Amino acid sequence: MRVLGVAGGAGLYDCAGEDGETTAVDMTLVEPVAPDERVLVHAGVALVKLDAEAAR
Amino acid sequence: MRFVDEFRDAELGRVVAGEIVAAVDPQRHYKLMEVCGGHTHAIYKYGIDDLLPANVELVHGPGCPVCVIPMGRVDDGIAIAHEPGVIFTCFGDMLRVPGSDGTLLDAKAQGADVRMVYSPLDALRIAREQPERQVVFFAIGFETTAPSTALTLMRAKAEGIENFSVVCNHVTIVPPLRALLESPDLRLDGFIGPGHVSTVVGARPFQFIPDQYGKPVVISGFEPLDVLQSALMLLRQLSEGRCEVENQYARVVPFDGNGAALRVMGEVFALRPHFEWRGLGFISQSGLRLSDDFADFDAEQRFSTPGVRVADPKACQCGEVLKGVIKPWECKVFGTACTPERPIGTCMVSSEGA
Repeated sequence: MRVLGVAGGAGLYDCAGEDGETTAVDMTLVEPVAPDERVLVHAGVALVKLDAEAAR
Repeated sequence: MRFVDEFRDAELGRVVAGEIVAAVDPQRHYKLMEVCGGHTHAIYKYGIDDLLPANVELVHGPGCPVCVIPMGRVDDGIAIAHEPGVIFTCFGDMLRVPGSDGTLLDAKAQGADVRMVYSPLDALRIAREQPERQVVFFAIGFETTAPSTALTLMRAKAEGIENFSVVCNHVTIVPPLRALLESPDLRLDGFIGPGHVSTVVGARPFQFIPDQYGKPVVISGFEPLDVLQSALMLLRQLSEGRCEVENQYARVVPFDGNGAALRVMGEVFALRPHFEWRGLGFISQSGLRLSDDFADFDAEQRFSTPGVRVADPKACQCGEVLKGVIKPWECKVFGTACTPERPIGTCMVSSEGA
């Protein structure tokens, strides 16, 4: 999912899925994050920031 | 779609499939096991089996978190769901997993307030909104899902939410792999390693497989090119006489995993001495319970549960499927008595369950 911005503090951020739907995601485990970064989300929690360089 | 479309390129897929043909010894049969339900799903969704030479066989191990939940634990969940005032929450797949006397969906039809959630955080939100009700989350999953439950419980504790509790069925990936490798009927050449579990635990915990059992491991992503490339990497290790843990999914899996996730799991959970796995029996130190600091949130302490071990139905061969001994369609009741509408075993329930 793509990070949009803070969603009310306590580690929650709004994120957009590929279908455009916005969901609040817990970023505690990957902070700090910045808008437009991509994260892998599982059960409402971001587990890892995606690495564009490694994807190549 | 970034990070996805690139790994669904059909032309590249054909190139990798050609490299696989070149890498294998035509006189040898190769059996590769994946131990993540996401891989099982991808293999069937994209027909990856059909792209491999006939002498390269993919088998499915105990990697689907729904498939490994034994009937007795489902019965415990149903008993709690029937308690007055309880809102019982779980992931969607769990709703149809049979216990000894029906499913959570049946319990809902009988009047229990059973709700599907996408995250334990959704269950906590319900608890926040309805403080007069007891909200219970039926937690399942490997190390991929356990951090979400852990963070939810830490939030519940910080906010002083007392009407929230968890039935903890979280399991860990290494003990069942070790149990499989100790199995006398095992005949495997290598493992396609679980990509999402590895985002949390990293690659290091799988090193015992090459070191102690002489089998290579390639941690893999979930797109068709990921799985094909991982099969190629395993087959190259075998043909070159190498035996290592390799990471095909480097764009997602750090070698050391996610330290923050491991720390919150260590704070919230403790190992159970043993835990029962559907079809595999009891495996030592393979399940998680809530730690003493979070015992107030343990639904098994808050409510009365049967806590009884229930044997799988005699006709069910999920255990042999989960050990890779038989293919799902070789089960006696596959597609006849056991169907997606009326599953007998858990493997028929989940889209990740072969």
